[in-house]
Amino acid sequence: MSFAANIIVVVTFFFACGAGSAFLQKRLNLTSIAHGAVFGTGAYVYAVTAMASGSALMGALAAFVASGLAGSALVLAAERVVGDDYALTSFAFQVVWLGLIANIRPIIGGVLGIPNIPSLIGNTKQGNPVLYFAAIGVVFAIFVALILRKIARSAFALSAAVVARSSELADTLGISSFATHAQVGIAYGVIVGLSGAVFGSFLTYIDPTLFSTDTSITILAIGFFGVVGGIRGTSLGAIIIVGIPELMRFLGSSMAQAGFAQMAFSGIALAAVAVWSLRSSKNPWAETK
Amino acid sequence: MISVRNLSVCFGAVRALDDITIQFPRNGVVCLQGENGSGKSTLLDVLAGFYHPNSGEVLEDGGKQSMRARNLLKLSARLHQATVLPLELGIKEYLSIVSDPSAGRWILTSDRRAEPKAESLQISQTVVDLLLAGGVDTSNSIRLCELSWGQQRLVALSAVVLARKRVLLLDEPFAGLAFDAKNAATTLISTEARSRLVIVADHDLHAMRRIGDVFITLQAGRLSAIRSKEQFGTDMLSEGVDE
Repeated sequence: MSFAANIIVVVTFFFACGAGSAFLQKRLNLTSIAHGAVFGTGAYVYAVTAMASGSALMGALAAFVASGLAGSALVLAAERVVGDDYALTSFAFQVVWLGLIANIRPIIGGVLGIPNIPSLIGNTKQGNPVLYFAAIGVVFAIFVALILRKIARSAFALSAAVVARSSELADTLGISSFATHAQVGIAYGVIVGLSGAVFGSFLTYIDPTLFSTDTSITILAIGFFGVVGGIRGTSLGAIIIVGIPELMRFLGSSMAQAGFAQMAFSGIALAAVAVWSLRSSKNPWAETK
Repeated sequence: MISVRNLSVCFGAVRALDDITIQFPRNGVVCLQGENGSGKSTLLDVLAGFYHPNSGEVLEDGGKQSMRARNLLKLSARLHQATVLPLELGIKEYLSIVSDPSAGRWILTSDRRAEPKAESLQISQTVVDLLLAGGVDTSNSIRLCELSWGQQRLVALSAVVLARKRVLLLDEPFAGLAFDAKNAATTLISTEARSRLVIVADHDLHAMRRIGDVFITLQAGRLSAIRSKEQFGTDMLSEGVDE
């Protein structure tokens, strides 16, 4: 039971992150390699604030604000760089973030990380805490799916499509590219950052390796499933890329083996989706006109 | 009323615009002509707020107030030479968001992207005529990527007109258009120019002669001539350009 709940926790929070990544790609055509940094921002801010204030709620609130800001900063970079240059810029963002986190020892512990993070559900005496987190994960994933569906069906998505095509076109037609980028960034940051906050609270221990470029690639790969297959695709991606390696771990594989399996699944997914589905989902004639 | 004073724009060693001073009328059609590389598109980009001039300024209110890029973006709508459209959107979706950008301004409170909104899309008859002349039926929910190049050009022109800005900056609006579509485009531009300023840069002298009120010729980034409609027609005849 605990095994299954553990897998549900991991899958649901990575589902939310993948949905956030797909949201960026579908709405603004942005391929980011800094998901790990935003995920980690939520986790670190939650940990530091919750420990300093003694309140998990304060921690979650601080994580909400900080990850929204981090997400908007990341997405607003698209005001100046797009396409491959944006991917490279986001990678730089990820590397700089990781370099800072790993080297700042006061408060956040540098490479040693932060232990004894207060749990979001408090010191529950009754029941298995993993089950509580699994329930939180499922509710959060459903909430994220509903919010993103609402946005996809709104007129805002039309504005975002114009901005994604060209910021200059949007601005000249009276659609603010800055406001659109900022709002998408905040929504994305809050989704991914809050996932990180709850995930850190679940683990009760975080260190920089949990939010490395590998994590970014994992989230990006799940997001690619979402770009092609929507919410169902994101769910499938989270199960394949995160769920199966977790299952392997519980079945006796080492952490390293499970980690390599996860990277292999991510790589295969990225290559397959990029080569076949992303190209064919657009109109090749229109692109070459 | 806008004007430019001593405007110069350089790209490295290339002087794209060199000490240009022009006063534009409040409304009507101003045609920019000149060879490729004469600075027409650069002038439109400065007026659209996309380029900052190296020297000189864009002025409003008869030369009293210098305009910043942000003000120029609010004032004008720019049709680029290259057709840039969000190809995954439907025609109605695109024209509806362009005609009412406030509907999609806020992420959590924006209107539902409902069909009725697009169905009730109110666009002027001249825009409908323009699109129909190019075989674009706005009652269909066809995607922009499914249109031909010329049809996409017409949708791009319609979007700029629907943006409801005081100044329209049209870069080669007639390029690639068939006869009927070109006629509809000239009618649309003439109609719009009754209430706002339309600046057109194009190589089609016949189409420009039909719609233009003022003709500005640029040569190697410098202002070469400013002519009235009558002067321009006479010059075309003498140069053997006209029929």
